[in-house]
Amino acid sequence: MRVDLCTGSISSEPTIKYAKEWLGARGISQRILYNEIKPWVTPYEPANKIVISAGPFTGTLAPGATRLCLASKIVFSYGVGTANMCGFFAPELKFAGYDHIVIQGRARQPVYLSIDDDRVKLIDARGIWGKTTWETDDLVKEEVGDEDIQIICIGPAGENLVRGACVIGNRNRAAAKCGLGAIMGSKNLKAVAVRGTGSVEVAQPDRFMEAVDRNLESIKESPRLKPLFEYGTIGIFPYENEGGGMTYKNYQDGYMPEESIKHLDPDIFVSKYKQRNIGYMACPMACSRYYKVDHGPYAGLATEGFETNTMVDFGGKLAIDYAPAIIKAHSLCNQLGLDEDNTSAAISWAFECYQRGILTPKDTDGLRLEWSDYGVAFELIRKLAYREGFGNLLAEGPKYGSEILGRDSGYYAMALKGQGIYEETRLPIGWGLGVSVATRGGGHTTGAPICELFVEGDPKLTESAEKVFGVKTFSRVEYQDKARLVIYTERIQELINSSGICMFFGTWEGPDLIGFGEIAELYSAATGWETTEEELVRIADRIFNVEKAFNVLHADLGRKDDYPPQRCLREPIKSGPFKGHALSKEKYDSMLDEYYQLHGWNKDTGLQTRTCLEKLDLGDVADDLEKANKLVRI
Amino acid sequence: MINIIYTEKCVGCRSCEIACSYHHQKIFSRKKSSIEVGRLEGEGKFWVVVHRKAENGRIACVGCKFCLKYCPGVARDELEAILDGRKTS
Repeated sequence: MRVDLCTGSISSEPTIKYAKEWLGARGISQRILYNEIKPWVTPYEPANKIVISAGPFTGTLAPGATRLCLASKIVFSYGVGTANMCGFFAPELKFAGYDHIVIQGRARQPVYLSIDDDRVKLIDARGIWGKTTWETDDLVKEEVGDEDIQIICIGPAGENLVRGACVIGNRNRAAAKCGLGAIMGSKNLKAVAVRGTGSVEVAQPDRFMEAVDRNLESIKESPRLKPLFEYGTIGIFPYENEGGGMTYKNYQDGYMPEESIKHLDPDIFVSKYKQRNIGYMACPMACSRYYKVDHGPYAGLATEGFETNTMVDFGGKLAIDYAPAIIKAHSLCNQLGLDEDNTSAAISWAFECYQRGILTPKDTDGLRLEWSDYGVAFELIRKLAYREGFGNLLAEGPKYGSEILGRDSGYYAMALKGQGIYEETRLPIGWGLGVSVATRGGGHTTGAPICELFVEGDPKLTESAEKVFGVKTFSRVEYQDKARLVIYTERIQELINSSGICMFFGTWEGPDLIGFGEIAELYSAATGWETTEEELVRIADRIFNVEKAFNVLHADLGRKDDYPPQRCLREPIKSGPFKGHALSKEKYDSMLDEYYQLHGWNKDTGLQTRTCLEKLDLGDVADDLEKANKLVRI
Repeated sequence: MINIIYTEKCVGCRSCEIACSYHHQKIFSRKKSSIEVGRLEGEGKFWVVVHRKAENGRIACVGCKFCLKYCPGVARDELEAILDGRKTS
């Protein structure tokens, strides 16, 4: 479906013209953006587009095939960005008969897009502009008269063009990264609501379900997934600390002290606050939780829960060791429509600047930015969402905020390609590389392997991991093999994101889970097009190279943008089991050289080569890069 | 008369809905299914209705329990009790 908010025109075209070459969701949206947005278009202009996509397996029983992908040219880097959310919007879109919505232009006044099977229209949203995402969800459902309609929307942060504004679905699911909420805000698009009464069919149903059942069996048997079944991803939190990945007090350390972290033990959330488990379509795990607080300053707060990064963002980065405050931080960000990683990166940058005397109460509207003070942190979240006072600076995120502030505060801005991050990049080594080279600007879900945390020391897992990942070194402190491991991860995540299934069921989480072969079988059965593993890997490489070329052509991103934040290259982890671990610039450089070479790119600049692109049938991309003098002619 | 059953363990994933339509018609469809899951997301509550008659395009539940196979383990006993008529409110 294509929607032009300037003219109000709505049309549709078949997905099939993209499907064979670009798979779906992330892949198709990247090609559309590359083809249709000129490099001189800025992210908030009407000419920018946002693509909202379901995948080829969405709406079926393929495990966790309920992910929604959003993509656009983004304000952090002026390159391309994608974000992905769980929820019911994506399957409902398929039941309405659509795979993708490509939205361009800007409405003259706030609107929301209403899709009721083939009845699609733009509706006046002036009455809900300014409302939180929870209020918006209630008001649209009330207006439509259907509690069951599926809605994605933005909050005040998106309306106010806060760089880290996100898109929220089902009240608490977020397409968080890349500021896509602000892109919707720039288009005066408050929400998209969809109701679908149709069905999804696959070409070979018996074969498809046999593949689904095999995958479900491997999910059930996977030892790696057992903690996720029990706790959700917050079960990882203590292990992140033990592994040196806590980013404590804005990355001043990689470890949170024992006396603080014990107050955020996953068992506390389960025993004191959990009401029930929550899952979304076709998910055998149901890793989400519904929490209720019945005491203290946030008594009465009830909300769906969060992932481990919320714990690190507010528990680690801001040193908040009060469990109800973590639940409150999550609900506040969701209601205002804010990415928690970027928001906490901006606020922890400000806290550290305050600690060092770079900021004083004169700068911060009289607030004293003391570590652990969640009351102050929540006031800053509110100010940031409404661009009020000091919040107007924070709304630009840590990197751009530090550029405005000056005072040598940039060193404390923990950002990649302009976007605030949550991930430790000093450890594990492959994880740090994957986060640093990610095309969208940080994040661990596109190329950062997680297997360095669990393979080493487990002979059985090591054997299967060597076979699946094609490498032999899994130690988290080693550099060898990590470039190759990152490229494996980029490929599988590209395919997982493009097919619409959840990454927790892919080989990212364990070598016994869904890999290239399993996706090829599902895809062949779903479409009736026999597709091999090799063909899928080639599609993954095509998508990745188009993302890379977009970033080069639109934002002049290059080798300089593929390094961890300066602090992580200069300061070691100061305490905990990995005390003293420091990243070696020399070894990181060699690893980056190898990473570029394995991609077939130029080792010194990271720029793509004609040979690499033509092998992938991307001669048109090579021509574009050559015209911009950004191609290596070999 | 539709009997809405409020649940304690159901995770609200609606996998049972599309398992039902697949088993009987080889398509994935919420609206054809003989089982219907409602989500009151603001309250963290989920309800289930079992359509025992073929009305409004829905398949009549024949008690085959195919849907149970795709229900997450934590909620399966409760769904089985609902299908058996042992849990009715």
